[in-house]
This record gives sequence, structure tokens and C-alpha cells, in this order.
Amino acid sequence: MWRSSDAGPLHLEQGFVSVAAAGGLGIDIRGASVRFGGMAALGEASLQVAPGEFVAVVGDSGGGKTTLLRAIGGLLPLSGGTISFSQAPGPRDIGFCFQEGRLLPWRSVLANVALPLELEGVPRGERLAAAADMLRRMRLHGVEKRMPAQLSGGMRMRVAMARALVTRPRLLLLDEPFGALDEVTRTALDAELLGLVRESGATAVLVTHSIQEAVFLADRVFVLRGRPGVGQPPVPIDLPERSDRVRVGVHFAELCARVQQSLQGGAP
Amino acid sequence: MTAGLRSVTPPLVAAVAVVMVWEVAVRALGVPAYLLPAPSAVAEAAWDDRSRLAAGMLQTAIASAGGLAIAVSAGVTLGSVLGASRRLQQAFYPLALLFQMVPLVAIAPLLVIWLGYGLRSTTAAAAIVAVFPVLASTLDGMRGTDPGLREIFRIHRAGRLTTWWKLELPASVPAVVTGSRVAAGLAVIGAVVGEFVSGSAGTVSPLGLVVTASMREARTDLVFAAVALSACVGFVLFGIVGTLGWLSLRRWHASAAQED
Repeated sequence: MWRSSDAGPLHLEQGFVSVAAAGGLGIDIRGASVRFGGMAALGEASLQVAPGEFVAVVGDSGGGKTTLLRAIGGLLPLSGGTISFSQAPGPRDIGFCFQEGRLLPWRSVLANVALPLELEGVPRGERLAAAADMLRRMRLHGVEKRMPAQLSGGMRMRVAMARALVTRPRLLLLDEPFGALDEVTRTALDAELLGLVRESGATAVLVTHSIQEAVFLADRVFVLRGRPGVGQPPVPIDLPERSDRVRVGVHFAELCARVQQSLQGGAP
Repeated sequence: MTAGLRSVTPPLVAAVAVVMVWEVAVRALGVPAYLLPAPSAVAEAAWDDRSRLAAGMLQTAIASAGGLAIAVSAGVTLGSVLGASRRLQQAFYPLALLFQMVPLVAIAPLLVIWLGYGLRSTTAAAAIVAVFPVLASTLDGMRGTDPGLREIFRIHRAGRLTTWWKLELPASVPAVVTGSRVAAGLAVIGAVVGEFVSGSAGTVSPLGLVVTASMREARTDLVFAAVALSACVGFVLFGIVGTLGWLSLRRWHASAAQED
């Protein structure tokens, strides 16, 4: 009943993959599907992500974008198909960033960013130094001692991003990280995110409901069509540069239209 | 400051109004003092007996505060342990609930048998009445820990103990504060009821004993005075717990900064 889509490695060659960093994890998703009870949450998805590639996942709400992301992160089991990695990921290799930020309200910014290292058993001095370093790199120094409630929504998301990056992950899983923010803040954070991900060399999978955001950030856009979502051939994004100027260009609009078409079931 | 004043003013005005109506009604209707003394008569009796009442109030305050302290420690400990294990919870929570249903007056004599007359028994009585809301709210707080935060701990493969100590316990602090506020009022009730049965020890009569003794002497004015003073003890205890709670949660809920 489910159509098989994405003919595998072919798309890897089609995609305009950014220079694959040695650090990134490759992902191979084959016929992945997820059911909760009798309900299909993710219809069928196949996708190969090259090490260091940035893939955005778009689709109808309720189509299983987040489900796919969580399955990649090992947070829920597949009902069918497989997800494998170029190397078995260790506990520090996957960084998650969620829309709600999910900071611990009783911890300072610094202690929140240090949390993943703390849970991995890194000694106190070392983990605090690493957290402070990550905050500096994100130009967040000066807020180390603040509590999450004292930060604006945009700042909270940047702290959550710092926490996701503090273990130097080889795979970043981003679940609508800026979905709750206003357009202006979101655009600014998109650019910052892109810089950070490129600098880290990590592979990134971003779930978003914004086609513009997906096209601006990703090397390829993976479309889950329908409910439950069925994976479509990824749309390669061949933007010459990623700056605010590009967002108003004709080519950017064309790429968005192509993703939109794939979403609605037109010819890709 | 002005906001605080504004929130205190209406209840204060209402209280003064009630007392005034009471005073006027008692005088106008000629209600006998042994049935309902006028507020002025209560105040007068309290002033005449001030040293005995003050000593009694201190005694009741010690029993209530001590009982509350025990209740909060025991409630948080038991609640967080039960919250850590579904099986323990299934086994012991119904027992705790059953324990809660036992009327204190019925077990107060047992406390006398075990702990003797006096402060130890009344403190225990206060603790017994106050422990359940703390236990129940701690348990609720643990179980109500944000699943999103739980997932962060799961992603980083935190163990059961680590999750308990670093996530569930701090996450249940707001619930513990709420439960402790409820417990503060109950502790005073427990202490006074305990004093009815087991209060007589030494020369000092705690407020509960003042109530029963004054009742036998038909000194309704002193009964009212003791009741009012025990309410004051509850009020102060509630205030202390509320302030401690506010201090511990202040940084969680600070207003959002104006940034980026």
C-alpha cells in the first residue's frame, strides 16, 4: 500500500552536497515506517544523507517529520525498514535541539549547556570550561549565570543550540528549533545556525514547516507527502551562496516552488 | 511595596468590619458572654492572661513548626522514593492514603502511650496530619516531570538514579512548595488536636489545653483567645513556608529579559 520512493544512492549524486566533513555521520534510511498502535505515524521514508550534509525535512503537519527525526535519533523504534549510520554513533555523537528549547528552569545557562557532558560523566571543571567555550563561540558570553526564565525566546533557543553542540556531535537533529520564534529572529538564527553547523562539520537533519527555511539552510530538502507522510525524491538546493540577498532572488523562489510542488504531488 | 499594601488592605478592611459587626451585634442583642463574648471582652481576657497564653502559644508554635519540619522531610523523602519506582508506589501509596483517612483524635491516645504526655506527642500529631499533602504533592511533582526534559536525560543515557536526583527531584520543587503550604495550616490543627488529648505536661499549657480547660470553666472568652492565637501560629507558619518557597522558586519564574 505504501509507495516506495527515493531510489537510494542515485540522489546522493544528484544532491549538491556541501564538502563532507570527516566528522559527520552518514545516515542510510531504507523504507522506514513507524506505527503507534494501529495508527501509521510515518508512512514510508528512504533517504541517504552524506557525512556533513544538511538535509531539511518538510511535510504536512501530522505527516511524520518529527517521528522520522526521533527514529533517526533512536528515540522510538521503527515498525518497518532500517536506519543505519556510517559508523555506530556513541552517546556524544548525536545532538538534539527541540522547538521548546527544553532547558531546565532551575539551572543557570552555563549549567544547562554543560548538562550533556555532566550526564556523560565529564569532570566538573572540564565540562564547565567546554560549556563556557561553546557560549563564547555563539557570542552568548555574559549570560552564563542567567536563568532560562530571564532570557527571551530567541536567546533560549540559542542556549539550547549551544547545549546540542557542546558534545561536538557528528549528527545534529533539529526539530523545528525556531518554530516558536518571530520571523525576524528566526531569519537571524537561521544564518547563525548554518554557520555553526558548517563550522562543526556535523551532519544535520532539520525538521521545519517553513519551506523558505528549508531551502535557505539545506543542501537537499526531503519531502514527506501526505498523512502519514511518504518520502518523495529529495529536492537538491543549488544556491550559489547563503545570504539574506539569496532569499529574495528568483532562483530561491523557484526552489521553494519545486519543494511546494513535491509537497502537493505535482511533478518534482 | 504599594502593591503589597494594596493586596493586604482589602482583607484587613473586611476583618475589621466583621469584628465591628460582631462587637455591635453582641452588645445590641445582649448575647451572654458564655455563649459569644464580644471581641473587646476576648481581647481583655487575653491581655489579663497574657503570660500564660504567650507561653502556651510558644509551646503550640514549637509543636506545629517541629511537626511541619518532620512532615516536610518525611513527605519529600517518602514521596520521592515512591515516585522513583512504580512498584513501590503501587504497594505503598494506598497504605499512605489509608493512613491519611485515620482520624487523628483516634490515634492521639496511642501517641500518648508511645511518646508520653507533652511536646513529643503533640509534635508527632502535627507531623502525622501534615505529612500526607507533602507526600502526595511530591509524588505528583515527580510523576509530572516534563516528558521533554525526561527525553533530554534519556538521549544522554542518564541512569535511573541520576534522572531521579538531577531531574525529577528538582522538577518537583514547585509541587513540594505547594504541598508544604497546605501542610503548614494542617500542622497547627494537628498540634492543637494533639494537645486536647496529650497536651498536659509540666507547668505550661499549650493553646489546645487552654481551649479544653477554659471550656470546662465556661471561660468562652479565653477559648476564643486561644483559638485566635492558634490561628496566628498557623498564619505565621504559612507565611514562613510561603516566603521560603518564593525564595527557592524566584529564579525559575523571573520575568523575561528584554533581549534580542
